[in-house]
Amino acid sequence: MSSNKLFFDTFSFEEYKDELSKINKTIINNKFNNLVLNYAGKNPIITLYLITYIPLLNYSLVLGDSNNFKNSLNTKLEINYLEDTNNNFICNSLYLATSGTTGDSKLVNIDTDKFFNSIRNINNDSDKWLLTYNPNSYAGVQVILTAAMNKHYLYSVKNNTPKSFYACIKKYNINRISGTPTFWKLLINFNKDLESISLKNITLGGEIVYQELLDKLSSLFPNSKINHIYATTETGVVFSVSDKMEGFPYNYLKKYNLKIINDRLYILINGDEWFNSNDLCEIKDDRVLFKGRSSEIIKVAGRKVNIASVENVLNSLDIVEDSLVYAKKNPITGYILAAEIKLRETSSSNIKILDNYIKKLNRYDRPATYKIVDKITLNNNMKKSRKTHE
Amino acid sequence: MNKEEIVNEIISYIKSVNVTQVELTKSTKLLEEIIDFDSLELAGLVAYIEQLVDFDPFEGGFVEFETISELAELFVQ
Repeated sequence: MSSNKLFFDTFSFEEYKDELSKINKTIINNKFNNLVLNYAGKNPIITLYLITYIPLLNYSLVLGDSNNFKNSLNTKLEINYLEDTNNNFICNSLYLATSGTTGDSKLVNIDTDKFFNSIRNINNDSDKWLLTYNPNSYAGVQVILTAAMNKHYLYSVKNNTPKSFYACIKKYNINRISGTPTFWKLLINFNKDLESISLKNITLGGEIVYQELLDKLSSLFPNSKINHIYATTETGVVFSVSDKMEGFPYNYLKKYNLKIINDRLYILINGDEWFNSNDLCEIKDDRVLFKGRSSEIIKVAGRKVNIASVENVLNSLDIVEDSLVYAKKNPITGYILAAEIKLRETSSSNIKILDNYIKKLNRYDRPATYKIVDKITLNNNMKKSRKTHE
Repeated sequence: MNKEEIVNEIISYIKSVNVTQVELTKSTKLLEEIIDFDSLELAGLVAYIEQLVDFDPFEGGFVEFETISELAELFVQ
């Protein structure tokens, strides 16, 4: 691995030499029988350093900030060295926290052999990646390792705003970006001269990719290869689609050992176990379309409502740039729908149009309350945060 | 916001979501006297007032109320 090719806009190996040395000494001299090392910071250099250590030392590495993990071990620091007295963790293992899009995150034991083997061999020295994900997420670690193992350049920014991402892309002529649909929408909406950027490869993952965004990306970057990756932290990458159409071809069900039961997508793992992805699907002609997460279905006054569909209805209004719909606890009905809405232009006339539009929606699908916001709440992996609001 | 202002907000919210022929006063019983104003609309009303005053009177559990005035009283801090 050629470390000098990994470049970080605001991080450098030199800057963290002392920190890395301190980590190194602590690991080697640790007095615990079962060491669990937890890193929940945002520095991709430390993530890369720790992950390359796994095969060498007898400890468990936990990357990410899992609520369950923090509560059980009472950890608050970015980096923690803990003794696993209850033997909850397997030595020489990597654990990653799931993104917790619809609830608390949980830790997943990653098959490191499979994970390292899944890193694509790209063979092009000049490629430059932008890290848009949290470096301790599954997608983040995958991007870091892909860049490192292919001896590519990798750039990251400390301040995850659309403007700073754009400045970094321009400054370093970045040509490979992997990000969530929300990341791409923000990048497009906040930066008007994207045509001047030349991207070789665009990857989307982590959320549903709708046709509107694929069409927008295709028109802005006509020469780019666009991939939509379907992966879960629990199963790894399942498949990727590059035909610039939403959903995936029906024949992928057979090709990738998938099946749909009660609208939910199941993935065959370990040869004989069906993993419930909780992703809702609908078959339309020769295509399988994603319809949201089953945990995104809530009961409002006894009726099931798919909050992702409501978001889609709100976003179909021209004046709406993006929206986040979530379940909010309510003393009368248990839950009600609430929304954060970002308008393309916040003006009193647009707010009136929006208000009238919302009032005409089916009463069960209608957000009972909404806020006009400057930006939609995202988790640290640039995914919409749909945790139930108290 | 004082109680009277909250009462006025409740009345204008109900008028905006429900074409009611009933004259709304502070003693109007919410789920009994307003036709077609059901629990879903009441839930929306509670959420709306909660957002307006930035206070959740039901945090510790459900508190009974019947009239517009009683609901407004709960939101007075």
